[in-house]
Amino acid sequence: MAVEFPVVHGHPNRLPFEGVLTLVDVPSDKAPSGARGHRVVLTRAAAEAALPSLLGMAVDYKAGWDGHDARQKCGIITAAEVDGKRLTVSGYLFARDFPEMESKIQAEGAMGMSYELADAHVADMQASIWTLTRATFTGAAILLRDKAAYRSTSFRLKQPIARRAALAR
Amino acid sequence: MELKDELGITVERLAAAAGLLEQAVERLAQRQSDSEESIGRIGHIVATVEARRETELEQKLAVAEAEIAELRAAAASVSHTVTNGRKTLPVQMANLLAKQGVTVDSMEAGALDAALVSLSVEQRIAVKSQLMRAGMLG
Repeated sequence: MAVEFPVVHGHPNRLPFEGVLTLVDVPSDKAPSGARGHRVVLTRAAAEAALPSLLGMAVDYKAGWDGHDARQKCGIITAAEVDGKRLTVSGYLFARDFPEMESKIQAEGAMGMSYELADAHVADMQASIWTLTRATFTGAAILLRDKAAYRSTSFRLKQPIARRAALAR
Repeated sequence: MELKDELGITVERLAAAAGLLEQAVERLAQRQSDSEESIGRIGHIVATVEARRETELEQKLAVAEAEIAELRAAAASVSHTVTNGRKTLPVQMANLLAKQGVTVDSMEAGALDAALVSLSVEQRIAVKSQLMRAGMLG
C-alpha cells in the first residue's frame, strides 16, 4: 500500500529510506512504553487493517536516538506493507532540514524503528503478553535498534551518501 | 505515668498508620478493579523499551500490593468478637481494645470510659476519636 509522489530528480530534501517497523504475530522482545510492563503482540489482522493509517504519518527522532519526539518530525512514510512477519515501511527523510541524521544513520545495522499507536485494543489485559487486536498508527521513530521493543527492526537509507553526492555534481 | 504516655503515643501512631493503610488499600483496590476488565483500550503505545522509571514504579507497586495482601490476611485473622463483623476499625486498634478487655459488641461510651480509666484524658480522646471515625461509637 503506497501513496504515489511525483518524481523530482535531485530533490535536495528528499532522501529515500526503508525499514522494518515491527513484526506481526510475534511478541515484542521487551515491554513497549505505555503497555504497563507487558510485552505485546500486534496481530497480522490488526496490522493490515491499520496500514492505511500509517501512510502520510511522519517519522521522528529524539536526541540521543533512544526514544520518540513526536514533534521532531524528520520524514514521511509513503508506503507500508506486511511482508511475512515483517511490517515494512518506506518514505523520505528531510535530509536537508536534518543534516545531522545522515551520518548517524549510515552506521549499517545500528538503527531500528519503533511505531506509535493510538487507541490500541487489548484482547485480555490479564494476559502476561498483551495481544493488540486493533490500533491506529500515528507515526514512527528512528532510534537505536537496542532501544526498540522489537530488536529485529531496521532502518536504512535507499540511496547512499556517496551516490547522492555524485548525482548532485 | 510514663507507661501511659507511651501507650498513648503508640495508640496515636497506630491510628495514623492504620488510616494511611486503609487509604492505600482503597486506592489499590480501585486500581485492581480498573485493570480487571477483560478487554481494554490503551490510549497510546510506542514500541520503545519501557523507561527505567516506569519499571521501578511497577516494581514498587508490586511490593506495596504484596504488603497490602499481608495486611488483609492479618485483618482476616482478627476474631469476629473483636470487630463485630465491621472492617472499618483498624486491626491494631481492635487488638489494643481487646487487650484492654473491651469488645466491640459491648461497646458504649460509659463502658469504654470505665475500661480506659487508667489513661489520661488526652489518650482517651484519641482512642474515642478513632472509634468515632470508624463509626463504632455514636
